[in-house]
Amino acid sequence: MTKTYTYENNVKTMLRAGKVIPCGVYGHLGPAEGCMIPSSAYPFFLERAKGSEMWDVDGNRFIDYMCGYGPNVSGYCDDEIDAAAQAQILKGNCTSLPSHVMVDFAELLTATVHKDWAFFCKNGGDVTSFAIMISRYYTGKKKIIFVNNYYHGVAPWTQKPDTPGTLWDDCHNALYVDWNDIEGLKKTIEENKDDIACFISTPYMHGNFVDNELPAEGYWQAVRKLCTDNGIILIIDDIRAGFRMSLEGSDRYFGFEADLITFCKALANGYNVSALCGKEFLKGAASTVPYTGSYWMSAVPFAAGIANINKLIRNNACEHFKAMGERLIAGLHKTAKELNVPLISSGHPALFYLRIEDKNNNFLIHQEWIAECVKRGVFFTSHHNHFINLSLTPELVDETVTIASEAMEVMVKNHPELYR
Amino acid sequence: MTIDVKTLAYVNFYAAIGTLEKYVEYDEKAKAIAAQQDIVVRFNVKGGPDGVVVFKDGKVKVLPYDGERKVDISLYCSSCDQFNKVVAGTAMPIPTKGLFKTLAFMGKPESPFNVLTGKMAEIMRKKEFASQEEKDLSTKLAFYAMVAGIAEVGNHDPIARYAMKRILDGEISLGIKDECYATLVKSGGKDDKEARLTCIRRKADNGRAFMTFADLETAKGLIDGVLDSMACISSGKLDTRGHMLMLDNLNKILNIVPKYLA
Repeated sequence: MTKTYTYENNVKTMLRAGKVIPCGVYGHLGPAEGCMIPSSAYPFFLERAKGSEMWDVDGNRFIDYMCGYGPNVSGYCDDEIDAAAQAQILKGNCTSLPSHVMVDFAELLTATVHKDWAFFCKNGGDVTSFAIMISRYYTGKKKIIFVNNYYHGVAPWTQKPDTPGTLWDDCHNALYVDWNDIEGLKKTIEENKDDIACFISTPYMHGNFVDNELPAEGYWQAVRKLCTDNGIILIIDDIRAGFRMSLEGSDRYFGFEADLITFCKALANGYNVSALCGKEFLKGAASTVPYTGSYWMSAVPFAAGIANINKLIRNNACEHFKAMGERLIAGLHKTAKELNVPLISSGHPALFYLRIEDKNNNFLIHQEWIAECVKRGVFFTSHHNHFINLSLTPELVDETVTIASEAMEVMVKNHPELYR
Repeated sequence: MTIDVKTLAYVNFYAAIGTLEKYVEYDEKAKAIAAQQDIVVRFNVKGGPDGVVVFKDGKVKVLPYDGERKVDISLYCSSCDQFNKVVAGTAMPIPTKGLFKTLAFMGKPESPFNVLTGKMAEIMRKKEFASQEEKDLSTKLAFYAMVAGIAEVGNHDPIARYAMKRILDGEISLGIKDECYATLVKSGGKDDKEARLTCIRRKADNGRAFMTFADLETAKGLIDGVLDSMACISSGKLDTRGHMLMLDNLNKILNIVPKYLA
């Protein structure tokens, strides 16, 4: 039986953090966001990371399936990408004029994802917000159609009126439809005709806390036609799924073409850059809407992004992600079947989502299993999709299955009332 | 944040007066006073709560008026604002039944109802305590007032109501570990008319989401606003598990509750 981890230094560091940083660790990397349950099973701070592994401040080693919640696409501290970044550091980073590497990166990115232009920012929320502004400016309309269970960042326009810091007025122009619901979308468009600027959605429904859903056959083609027929800008938020299923953009993967598409997480293997890419007819609007930031043209992330994209292309990365994801899911399902545990996996294998079904529908059994995995060195979270990266090997996947199977056995033994 | 007088009236009745249920259970002196009462008092607030406070066998129950229960005293308030002033001690309700009983039960500062509500409020608002026991009682009462407050704020405050409707149906367990527990039951789905939260002052039978303070000290710190809830989750002092989206929406209501319970 594997020895379970303890987190003395993690807790000490968190106590220090709590004194000087709101929440200790705020946002999605912190325990307060609801993905680390119970928080006592999880580490909070790292000492180092390499490839698909990371070591916390107590020296515990983890095989990591969160990948920084996406940015780790080629492997932590990848030698090739870091070398490109370091070479650029020696030439200059945040300078009074942008480096020519910005143009090099834009050319490579637009050619890769088959769009006409690229606009660079820092975070996913920067580019989803810009996409909304461009859509409103271009169409002269104000309403936004969201798909339920969406996440497009934390700006007020993405929130609900009950979110702290958000006003009713911020949400007045939001319309909501269900995923894969073409009839609902038609009805919403009809009811708000001539007032809808854009439809924004992830390429498939990879929301948190819910089983993920791929598009039904013909869904995206129908959405595309409705948007075109009604003068609605079609925005694909590819921040999470981008470069995981296809290097050409997830719109291409599902056989349609977005007007605007956002990238971030997998763009530069952790170097901070995001991008909005678009069709030619929106380039003028993107030029006109005022939008900029102090670090948006920093050269180091561009250099890293070029090295990263070239590495992903050269290594057929998406095939690797799919193969490793399928290998892992198959291993987990094999154990679950042997133990009579109703494990459900959903979404694309490169971004797999896990849930153990339970009759009380309260996730406690699933959370217990995931916690047992983490305490043994497999970094999963309970209610977020996971990520595969290029450095993940079959050996690490098999080690993961062994650990996760042991964790499942422990969970099963703890619940003889459920698993006899 | 704007205080909605109607929401405040519901909080005052079901969360503030409603906590008498636990006060007479925990405090021997309060229980002795309650034991001498056998009376049903109706508070009929125009545009607000219409409920009864039932004293029977040393226990107190605070319930919605069902239209049939025999009452000994009926008190009318012409508005939520007036009722809120009654609770604050700056106005009197109009007795429409049981005038003499009203005078005996709550006509003077030393009348039983005023003694009970006054002492309970004093304990809940205290910052310095004569004993650990008194401090613990204050924390437990504040906990029950908070949970009942979540239900009433969620049902009536316009912003909180938006969050309440989005909570999935089912039981949410709230508790102070090994000390006391309460349950919020969400029902009615997202339907604007049917959706509601109900507070039950006992442990959940079939909880779907769980929020548990590690100890009384943590509960007090969080309820008083001295501790940060996110920091407590990080340090393990506040344990949350189960259906986290239910708690996420619950927290949005909880953020609003203090302005009504202040």
